[in-house]
This record gives sequence, structure tokens and C-alpha cells, in this order.
Amino acid sequence: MSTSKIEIDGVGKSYVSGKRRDRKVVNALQGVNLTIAPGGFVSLLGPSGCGKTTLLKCLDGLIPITDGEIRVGGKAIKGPGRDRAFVFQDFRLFPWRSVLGNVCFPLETTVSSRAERETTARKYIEMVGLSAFEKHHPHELSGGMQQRVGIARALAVNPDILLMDEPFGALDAQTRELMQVELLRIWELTGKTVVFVTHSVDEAIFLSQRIAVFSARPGRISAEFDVPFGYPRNEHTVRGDGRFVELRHEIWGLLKGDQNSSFSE
Amino acid sequence: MVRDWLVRIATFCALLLVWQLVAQQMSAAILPTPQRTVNALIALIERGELQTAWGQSAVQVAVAMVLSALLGVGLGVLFGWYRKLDQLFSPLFGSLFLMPRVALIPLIALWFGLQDVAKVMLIMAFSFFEIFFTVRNGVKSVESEYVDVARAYCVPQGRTLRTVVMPAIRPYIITGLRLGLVYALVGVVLAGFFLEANGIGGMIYDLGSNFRTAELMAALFSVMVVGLAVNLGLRQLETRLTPWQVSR
Repeated sequence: MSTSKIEIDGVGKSYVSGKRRDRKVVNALQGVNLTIAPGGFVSLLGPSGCGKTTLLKCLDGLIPITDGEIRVGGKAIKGPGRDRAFVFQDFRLFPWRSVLGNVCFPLETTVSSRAERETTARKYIEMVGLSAFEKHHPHELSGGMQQRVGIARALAVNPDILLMDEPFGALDAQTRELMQVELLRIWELTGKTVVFVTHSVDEAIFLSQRIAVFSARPGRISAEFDVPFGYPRNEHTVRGDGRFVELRHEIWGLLKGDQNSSFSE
Repeated sequence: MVRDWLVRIATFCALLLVWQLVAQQMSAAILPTPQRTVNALIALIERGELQTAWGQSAVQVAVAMVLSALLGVGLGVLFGWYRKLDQLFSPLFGSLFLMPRVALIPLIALWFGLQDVAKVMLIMAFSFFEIFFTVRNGVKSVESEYVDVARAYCVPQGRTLRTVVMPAIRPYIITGLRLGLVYALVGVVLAGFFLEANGIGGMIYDLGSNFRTAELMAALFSVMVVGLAVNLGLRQLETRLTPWQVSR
């Protein structure tokens, strides 16, 4: 069970874009506040370009923030750490390594024994249901299977926090639903904190306990919602529930309003 | 597939026929018939001349390629990885690359003479840049994609270079070597023209100056075959070593 609370405190991220003449400061994020309880499942939801992925990368320490502070377990983060693991939208597996080799990769800096690394890696490969494929290379796997490897790789370092950047965005609808159920199973099994970026309202509601809705330019959180369903969740009962429909409607309204206002700008 | 090959063979036969018809109207010193050319090729091989010439050229190309590969891959990785270095020196390399390298021959002759050392230098002038630029661009392009993964998992820089960048640029290294070798062939032929006249370049030059046109055509044919073989062989290696890569 993870114990690290995530506190996002007045976070801003701005950068200079353009050359000489039309140089301007872009506020990718401004005044973002969010607290995520240990072991929680929170979705960052919003349209493309609203800064949700930027915030996730800041959480990992892949890009530095320009304002505010992000604390994990009370300590301000200064860069990538082994308490957090990142799952990429486009999988980012190494094509020259097998499934086993890919999952072993992040362990190579910390675990010196090869046998020990492989034991750990195999445990997580089994967890994502790919034991029969550990010798396969990424190009021999489907997109869904590749992302399972991506998840196993992230779990292998035994992080407190999983940062997932639209992990199922590149998958077809059926695979996507399957992966959502899988992810919830793994989350309940491991007790990690999950921060999940998505632009799908349905996905956010089905998966998370809490949803932070983003609006764009500057990227900030415009509303937070609690999802009124317990776990384990069943797809059909959740999606058929009146509260699902209601919440979906409410969030959609918020996103639409935001889009309209940005159109009229 | 079969149809493609039929068309290719038909085209080849048609070309042979045209060659035959045109050659019949001309002096053998200008254009020998296909039959004469084949006979000349057989004679060159029987006398061992073609093998000797290619043997000399092969040694020169091999030495130059080993040096170009070491330098090209080494510097390519260094320049791709350290952006500052690239910013400082790339204009120099770029302008050298754009300069017609044939123009370097007099300087190479002044500095290194006319023998093998000079020839190796000339061949390197042709092959090094291909390898260097392909590898450097390779490092730059794998950087964002795979290096981010290493960063996200707290892998130190040196280790990232060794375990992520080096395997990731394998296809670029092989492509660079293939291009480098193709250009090395240009270099080795020119070396035989302008420096000491040995190897395949020297042979071509001598045959041409003595109006031994049938043998000249045969020698040119051997250059074509070697070029094709080099290209094909390294493409095979490319798909073997990097099965995930769609061959460029």
C-alpha cells in the first residue's frame, strides 16, 4: 500500500515560444492545486492541449515547473524519482529488447543480479497476463499487449505512484475497455496511487475515484468531481447506472462550455 | 512478383539487342559488341588481372572503411549526444561535406603522396561524412523518443548512452556504413585515376587510355556488380539486425 500523498500547490508552467519578432510567453499551466490521497485513483480530464499531460510530466519531474511546488510524501520533487513510474501513450518500448528485457530495463540500475531482475520482471509480466510472450519482441505484439508491457515495466520498479499518460489512447475501442478492466484489477491488487490522463469522459468516470477537469489557455483545473461508485466496478452496471449518465452529462456540459468560450475568443 | 521479373528480363534482353545492333554499326574501339565484352571479361578473369586490381582496391577500401567507421560512429555519437559540440563544429563539417571532395585530391597528394596512404585518405574523404552524418542524425532522432524513457526511470546518462542510444542507433549505423561503402567505391576509382594507377580505378584508366574498350566495358561491369552486391548485402544485414525497422 502506498503512503505518499501528492500535493500540487499553485503550480504554473510557462515557456517562451516563437522566434524573435513574435516571441510570446505561453502559460501551459497556471495556479493548479490538487491533492491526491495515497492509493487513490485520480483522472486528469480535458481536451487536447489543456496542459493535463504537461502536469503529469511535471509530476514525474520530466519537465521542470516554473511556479509553485509539487510535493510527494511531503517532499518537493526535483526530478524523476523511483517512487513514481511513467506509462507513455505511445508505449515507448525498446524494439531491440524482448518483453522480458523491456521490463527488466528500469531494474538494471538498481538490481545487480540478473536472476533477481528477471524474477521481479516475470512477476509483473504474469500480472499483466503476458507470461507466454516474454521472449517476444514488441513488433510481434498488438498495441494492447505492448501497453501491457509498458504497465509491467512501470510496476517492476515498485513505485508508489503510477503516472499514466493517455495509456489507452492509441488502442481500439474493444481493447481499450478490456485494458480498463485490467488496470482496475491491477490497481486493486497493488494499491498504487494512479494519476491517469485522458480526454475520454467515460473512461475517467469508469476508472477513477476522483476527476479533475481541465480547461485550456492557461491550463488549470476548472472543477473536481467525486465518482459515486465503489470497487470492484462492473462495466455494465456502472455504465447503466443513472448516476453515471448524470455525471457524464454534467462533465460534458463543462467541457463544451469551455470549448465554446475558446471558440469565441 | 513473377511478372515483374519477366518484365525485367525482357527489358534486359531488349537492351542487349539494341546494344548488339548499334555496336555492329560502329568501330569496336568505340563500342564493342556484347559478345566481345563478355569475351574480354573472361580473358581478364583468366589472366587474373581483374582479381589483382580488385584485390588492391579491396585492401584500400577495407582500411579506409575501418577508419571511417570508427571515426564516423565515434564522432557521430559524440556530436549527436552533446549538443554544444554539435553547435560549435557542425558548420565546419557541413561545409566540408558539401564541398566536392574530388577537389581535395591535389592537397591529399601534396600531404600524403601518391601511394596507399594517400588513397586511404581520399577514400575516407568520401566515406567518413556519410557515416558521421547518418549516425549523428540517428542519435538526435532517437533522443526524444527513447531517452525520455531512461530519464523517467532514473537511468544515469552514461548508462543511457550505452544501453539505450547505442542499440537504438544500430539501424542508422548500418545505413551509414552502406552509404559510406558506396561512396568509398567512388573514392577508390578516383584514387586509381589521380594517384598511383593501381586497383580497379587504375585499371579502368589504363584500359581507356589504350582504347581497349571491350576490356574497359568488362571492368566497368565489374564495378557495377560490386556496387550492387555491397548495397544488397548490407541491406540484408540491416533487416537481419533490426527486424523491427522498415528498410529505408
